[in-house]
Amino acid sequence: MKKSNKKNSSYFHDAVERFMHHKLAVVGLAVVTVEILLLVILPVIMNLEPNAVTPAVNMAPDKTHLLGTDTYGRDTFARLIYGGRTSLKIGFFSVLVQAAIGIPLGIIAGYYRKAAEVIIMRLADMFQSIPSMCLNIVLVSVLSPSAETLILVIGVMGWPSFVRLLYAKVLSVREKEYVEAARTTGTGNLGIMLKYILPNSISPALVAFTFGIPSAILTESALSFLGLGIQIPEASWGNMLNAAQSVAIISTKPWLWIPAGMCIFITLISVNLFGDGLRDALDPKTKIG
Amino acid sequence: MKKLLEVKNLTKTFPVNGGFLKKSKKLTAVDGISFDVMEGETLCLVGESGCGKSTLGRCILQIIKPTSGEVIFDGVDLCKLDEKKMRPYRQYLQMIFQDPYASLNPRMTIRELIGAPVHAFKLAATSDELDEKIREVCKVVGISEDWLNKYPHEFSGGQRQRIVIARALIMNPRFIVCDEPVSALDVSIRSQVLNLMKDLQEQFKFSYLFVSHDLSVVNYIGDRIAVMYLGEFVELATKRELFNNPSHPYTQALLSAIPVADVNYKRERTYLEGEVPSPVNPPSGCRFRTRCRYASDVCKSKRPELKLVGEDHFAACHMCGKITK
Repeated sequence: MKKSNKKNSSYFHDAVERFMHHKLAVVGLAVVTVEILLLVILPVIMNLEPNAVTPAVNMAPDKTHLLGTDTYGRDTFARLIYGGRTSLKIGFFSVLVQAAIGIPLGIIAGYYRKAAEVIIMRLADMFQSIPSMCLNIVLVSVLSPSAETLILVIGVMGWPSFVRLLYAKVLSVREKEYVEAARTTGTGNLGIMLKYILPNSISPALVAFTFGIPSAILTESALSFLGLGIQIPEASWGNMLNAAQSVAIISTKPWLWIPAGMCIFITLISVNLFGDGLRDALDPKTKIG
Repeated sequence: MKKLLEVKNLTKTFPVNGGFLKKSKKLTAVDGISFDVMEGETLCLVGESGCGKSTLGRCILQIIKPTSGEVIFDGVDLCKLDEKKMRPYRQYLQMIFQDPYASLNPRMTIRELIGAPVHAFKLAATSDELDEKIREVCKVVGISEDWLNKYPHEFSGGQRQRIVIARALIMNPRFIVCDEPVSALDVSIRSQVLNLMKDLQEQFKFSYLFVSHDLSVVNYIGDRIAVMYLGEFVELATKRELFNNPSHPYTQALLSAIPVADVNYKRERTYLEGEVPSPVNPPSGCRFRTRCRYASDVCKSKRPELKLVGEDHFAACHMCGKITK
C-alpha cells in the first residue's frame, strides 16, 4: 500500500508539472476555482436573499443592489450567486452520471465485443434516436421538476455519447501489443480493463466531460424555459436568462441578462480550457515545454 | 535433452469476410505444424512476412486460440484449457514482442510494468518482496534502478526491449516466444540485446522460440532452425545442417540471399520468381511448387511431408536428394 501511494504521487507529480506548463489551462482552472469559491463563500459572508420580493422593482445597479433588481424586486446579484450554485451543481453532477454509466459500458462493449457489444451499442442507438428533449420533458414532468430530477434525467439521457467515445477508443486500444502482453503475463480481464484499457482510452472522455458540463447547463436552462427546470422562485442561470427574454428587458435592463450570460460563457470557456490541459497532463507522452 | 513442449498438428484458420452476400473464406495461417521444443534450446522460425510465424508463436501461447491441434506442455494439452485453467501455465510461458514501443503500456511506470506479472500471479506477499524481485531482475538484464519510476516513452528502443525482457524474466519462465525481438532495433543495439538474451538463456536454462526473418540473427542465436512457407514447415534442421546443407529449394533461395560483407565474394544467387501465393487459396500439392524451379508433376498432386533427410534434418520436398545444389 505504501508503495502504491508513492507510485501515484510520482504520476500525479508529473501530471501536475505538465498541467502547469499549459498556461491557458491554469487560467481556466483558476477561474473555475475562484468561481466555485465565490459561490460557496459569498452566501455565508454576505446577507443574500435571492427570493425576497421587495417593492424596489426593476432597479438599476446601485450600492444596495450590486446588480440591480428584477421585475419582482429580487436582488439580481443574490440570484446570480444562488443560481450559479444550482447551475453548476446540475452541470457537474449530470455529466458525472453520464460518465458513470457511459464509461464502464463503453469499455465493456469495446473489450468483450460479441453479445455485450451488440446489446450496449444498440441500446445506445435507441437512446440517441429518441429526441432527447422530448423525453427529457416527459421524464421531468412525470418525476416532478427539481435539481435532482434534472441531474438524473440529463445524466441518464446523455450516457450514449460517452459509450460511443469509449467504445471507439477501446476498439483500437484492445488491439495494442501491450494488451496482448498483459494477457501473457497473466493479468485478468478486469485488470486489463482497469489498468491497460481505461487509462489509455479515458482522455477523449475527459474532454467530453468538460464539454458536457456547459451543455448540461444549457439543457437545464432550456427545460427551465419550458417551466420544467428549476422552478421559480429558486434561481438558476438558465431561468434567469429565460426570465429576461422580452425585447424591452434586453434593450433597457442589461443587468438582468448580461451577468447570467457572462457567467455561463466564462464557465464554459474555463471548464473547456481546463479539460484541454487535463487531457495533455494525463498523457505521460506529452513533452513539457 | 528433454522435451519441453510438443506441438502436434497445430492449425489456425481465420475467416476472411468476402463482403456483403459473399461467402466468407478461410485463411489458413498455420497449417498442421508439428514439432518439439527441447529444454534449453533456441528454436528459430524463419520465413517471409505473412507466412504465419507470428501466428504460430501466439497459438502456442494460446494468445490466439488455435483452430485444431495440440500444444503439450507438462503433459497437458494447452489448447483444451479455457482462459482460467490456462492461467497457471502462463507464468512459465512468456513472450517478448517485436515492437518495444507498442508492447509497454504507456501509462505505467517501469516498476509497475516489470512487477505486473508478479502482481497478477500474486507471487510476492509484500511490497518489499515485490521490490526485491524487481531489483533482482533489473540487475540481471542491466536496468538501472533510477529507471523504475519513469515511463516507457523516456527510453530508447534497446532500453525498452530490456524492460520487456525483464518483464518476461521475472516469472522464471521455462519457455519464451520471441516475436522478432530485434527487428525494430538499430543494428548497433541488436547485438547487445541478442547477447543479453543468449546470456540469460545460459544462466536460466529456458527455451526460446525465436521468430525472425533475419537469417544472420538466426545464425547467431539459433540451435535449430525451422523454415516456414505459407503456414507450413518446409525444413527443420540444426543450424549447422541447415546452413551447410540446405535441402529444400526455398531454404536454398533464402540462404543465397544473405548479404556477405565482402566485395570480392561471388555469390551464386538463386532467385525466386513471382509472389507468395495467397494463403486463402494456396496451390495444390506442394505449396512452394509455383515458385520452385525443380517442380514436377508429383509436386502438383501430392503434398510433401517432412522427411528425415540427414541427422536431425527434416525437409518437406519430393525432389529432395534428386536435386543438385
